[in-house]
Order: sequence, then structure tokens, then C-alpha cells
Amino acid sequence: MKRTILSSLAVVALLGTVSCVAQAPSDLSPDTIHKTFQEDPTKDPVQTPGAYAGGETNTFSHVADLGNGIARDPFDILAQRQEEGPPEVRTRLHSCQKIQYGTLRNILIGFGVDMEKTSTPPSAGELWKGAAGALGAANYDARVGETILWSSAGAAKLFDIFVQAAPEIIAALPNVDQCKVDGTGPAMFDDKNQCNPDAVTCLIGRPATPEHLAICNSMVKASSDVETGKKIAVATMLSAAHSCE
Amino acid sequence: MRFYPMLATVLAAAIPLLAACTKSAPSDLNGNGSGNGGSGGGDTSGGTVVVDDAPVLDKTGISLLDSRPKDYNEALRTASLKLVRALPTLQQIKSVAGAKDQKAAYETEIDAMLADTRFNERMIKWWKDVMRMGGGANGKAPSRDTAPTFAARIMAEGRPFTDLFTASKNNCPTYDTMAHAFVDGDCQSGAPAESGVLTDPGVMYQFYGSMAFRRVRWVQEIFVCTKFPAEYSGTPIHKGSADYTSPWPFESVATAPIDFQDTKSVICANCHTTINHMAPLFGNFDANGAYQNKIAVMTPTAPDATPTEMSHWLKPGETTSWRMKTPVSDLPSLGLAIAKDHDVGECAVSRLWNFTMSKEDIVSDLATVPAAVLKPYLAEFDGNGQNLKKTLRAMLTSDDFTHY
Repeated sequence: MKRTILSSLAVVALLGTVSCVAQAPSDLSPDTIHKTFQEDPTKDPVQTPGAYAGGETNTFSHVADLGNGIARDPFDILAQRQEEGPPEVRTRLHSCQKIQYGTLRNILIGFGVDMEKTSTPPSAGELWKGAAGALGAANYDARVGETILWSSAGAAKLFDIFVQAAPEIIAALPNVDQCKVDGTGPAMFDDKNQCNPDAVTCLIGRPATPEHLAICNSMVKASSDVETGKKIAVATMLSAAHSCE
Repeated sequence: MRFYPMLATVLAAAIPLLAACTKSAPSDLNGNGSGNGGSGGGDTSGGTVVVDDAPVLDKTGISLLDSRPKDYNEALRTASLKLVRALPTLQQIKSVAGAKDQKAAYETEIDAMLADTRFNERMIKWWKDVMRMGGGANGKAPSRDTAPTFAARIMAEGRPFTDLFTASKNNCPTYDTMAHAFVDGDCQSGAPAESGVLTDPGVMYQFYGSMAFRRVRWVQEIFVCTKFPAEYSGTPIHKGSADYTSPWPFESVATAPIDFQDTKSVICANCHTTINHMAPLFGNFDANGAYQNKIAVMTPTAPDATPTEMSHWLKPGETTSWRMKTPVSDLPSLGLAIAKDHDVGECAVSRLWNFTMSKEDIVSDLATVPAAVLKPYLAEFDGNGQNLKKTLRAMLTSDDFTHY
């Protein structure tokens, strides 16, 4: 009952919010109404078309978000929250946050990837450097922090990067501090081309289970050749394991 | 040419593996955790916080929370990515996985990460994202790194969170990335007295806007965690086409050149009674964040903006305030008023919870945290001298964080 009342209030509040933020004075310039310009906080605000378009017959057009990002539709948020379940439950469950842009670099370096390497097609380092936007990095000039969730482009780019990083990781893994125990690091594969449990554990950041190893081995075995299979296996393990923080 | 076919294979293969990753749990941990927090009366001893007010859950909710297995290695991985922006090393993973007392081993690793200089750097980044600002000084533009760095330093040094609004010196520290250490620094904004981030030139620059409203909005949304309106009357009054809900006298806000008493479309005064009583305090900072001896923001009049005057915000006789019946005469007294506001502490703890549990933004995405979930951590925060780092540790060692 309590939840029903709260839900009703939330709907009313959201409707109210929409009615407020949707007010657009008709005599504002089209550029302001449709925001075809990129606001730059480093510039004088007068640059913004219609920035000072207050007057007797209109209401100043309030931006819906503190930053320059597009504010989310309140009904979209409401639908998402309803799908996620009661707040007392969903807030106590881990959500899936994307790997942060800087964290991805640290992970790659930890596995021995040379972030300065250049190649054709682009190396993992080159892909990472060119993918700040796709990977949701912050844009502080626009007063927008780093995103929490993946975009489709960002997730695909992450997989791209892991694919390109795989050969370097396979070569470097035995020698990286990230994967050493008592001074010794594991090879990614044994002499029978089977995935090494310690190596998989190190890659995915949690103890490898028999299921992890089975999938890793199947990747090697199912590919057109063993070396390609090894790269696919490593990229697959990384992509799946690090889809969420 | 092999690049894209290989990528497709990886994508296809990743899907079942992802399921294996998220559903797998060490078999020796099955049944080891009840997961629902129990009813421990809000116990915070030993750094473990228990949710004591069992929330009203439907059957599905209880079942879902109870079904989560405890997994200290999964928690270690998530915590490591959050605290030091790196995966746990194989040594760390094995230390926890092979420990007889996994809880103790996990907490040892958490304490080591919280003491790591990488944690301080992570917190600077987190506060940049929270505060929506970052970037070094450039020409006349001041550094936008100092406010997030100050917040991270307060956490790192275990100081009261409220120092963020009240510190009269060292409120613009920098971070030496080579020495991995904070470096003292005063803001030198030119203001008569410094007051934490409230006199940080980088903040004033980043959130410069008409009549200093964006600066007020920044304070409200970042540190109170709600959009305006911020105050509500118990007895709303019908005005125009809607209700006037603010506790302030409706006539307290200006009517010219902008009519904040307008009721034709929306009730402007619902928000602007609060906003306009605070904005003048930020009005003397110019577009570069430097304090001037006169008002340095503009009023959005048509066709050209005009320099703002006090009468543009408020009717004569009105004084600046944080909230109704909380008058403040300057930024230091505003800082003290903010520091005393319980909503501000609750906001900080809510943001920390959302960071810990990978939730979205509490304002932009309405990722609010129910009081029942927040209550034990708020008690911990208030009981530990408003030390956010200790509260973060309590969250990272909680049942909810260690169950997946």
C-alpha cells in the first residue's frame, strides 16, 4: 500500500517535472529551443544563442541537467526503476558498471600491453587512446562526469581492444607482476594448448572455475588454427569477465 | 581482414562465458551467507554494518536477496577496480581464496587498498565525476582540479566531511602525481574569507552563469542530492494555475527585470525563493572565478544582458539565507549552515553507497537510496566524526557488498 502511494507520488512528481522542464518560450531562437550549438563553459555565456532571452512574455528556458548532456526522460527512468524492482531490493544488489576509461588502461598495462605500440590494424593502445568518447570518458568542459553504463559502441570497442591486446598478453603474461606468485608467473597455455588455471584466474580477476577453463579450452580447440584460437580465448575471457566492474 | 571475423567470434563466445562468470560461485561457499542482513539492531562493531530495519519486501525481493551467495573473491575484484582502478593480483586472489578465514583475508586486502596512494588518486577522479569538473589552469581560467582534490584529501586524511564547506585555509590543494602526495594550497580567490569549495575559483568558473544560479544549483544538486525546489511549506497556497509550495513569503523575490513571482506557466517562486536568497553570496565571482568587490554576474534581460543588482534577486529588506530561518551573511556562514544540514551528510553517504554498488547518479538518474538501506551507514557516518573513508570501509565489508 505504502509502495503504491509512493509510486503514485512519483508519477505525479515526474509529470510535474516534465511539465516544468518542457516549457519553451516560443520567442526563443530556434537554436536555443533545439540546442543545435555546443555550449562551451570556457567561453562567455553570451555566445549561447538566446542565453539571455528572458522578457515580459516568456520564461527563461531552464536546462534540465546541470551539465550539457541530454537529460534523461523521467518516464524512461521510471520505467527502468519499475523493471529493476522495489528500491529496498534493487539498491542492495550490485549493478553492472562499465570498466572506467583509466581503469581499462591500468588493466592492459598490468597484463603487459604496450600502450604506445602502433600497428595496422590499430594496436590495443591506439584503440584505447582513440576511444575516450565511445568508452564514456568524462567531458568536464561540458560539466559531464564519466558514464556508469556501457553504450553499445563502448562495449563493442572494449571487445575490439581486448582482441588486439590478446597476442601481447599471451606473450607477456609469465613475466608480469600482476600474475606472479612468489616471483613466478604462469604461461597462458600449457604445452598441450590447454588454458592454465592460474593464468585464467589472473585474467578474469577471480578464481577460475571448471566452467571458465572448459570454455577457454573450447575456444582454442574450435578455431581454425591453434594460435588464432588462443587469441580468441584470451579476448573472450577478458571481454566476458570485464563487462562489469 | 581477420580482425572483424575474430571480433565476431569473441562476441559470440563472450555471451555464454559472461553467464558463467556472473552465475558461478565457489562451491565451498554455497549456503555460507544468508544475505538479507538479518536484524542485528544496527550493529556497527567490527566495521560490519547490518541493516536493522528490515524493509517491507515482497516475496520476490526477499527470495532474491536471500539467494545471493557470499563471494569474497568477487567482492575483492569489484573493490579493487573501484578503489585502486586495477584488478587484484594473482597473489591477492589466492590469498583470499585459500584463506581459512576468508572474511578476515578480504578485509585485510580492503584495508591495504584504502591505504594505497592509488586510492587517493581514485577518489580525486571520483570527486571529479561527482562534482562534474576537472582540468588544469589555463590562461585566466583557474584549475578545476582543486575542489575534487580537496574532497579526496579530506577522505584520505579521515577529516570530517564538512571541512569541504568550512575550511578557511588549504582549501585548494593539488596532487603531486610523481610523489603521490597532496600538496597544500589556499584558493586565493580574493574573497574576504575562504570557505572550502564555496570559494574555489575553479568551481566558480566551471559553474558561472546568469545571476550565479548555476553555482547555487551545483551546491544543491551535488551536496544535497535533489533538484530544486528544496523547501516545502506545510500549507501550500494556490497561485495562478498551480500551488505555491515554498515556505518563504511569496513576495520576497524580485519582480523586475525578471518576474520571479510569475505564475502564468509555472510557479517560479517555488524554486527561486530558495535560490534567490543564496545566489547573491556567489554573485561577486566573475566568469574566471575571481572574487570582485562588486557583483560580477549578469541578468538575462533582452536583448542584452545587464549587470545583476541585488534588487534583481530579492525585494528590499530580504537577506541572504541557506534555507528559510537559516540566514547567512557571507560564504563562511553559508559553509557552516551547509555543514549543519543533515541532508548534506545523507547525500554524501548516498553517493558513496551508489559508488560502492555501481549505481547511477542520484540526481540525474534518480538513483535514490531508501532510508532503510542508508540508515546503518548514516549512523556509522555520524558516529565516526563524518569520516567518509571509514563509512566506505563499512560499505565494502557489508553483507550486501560481499554477496552476489
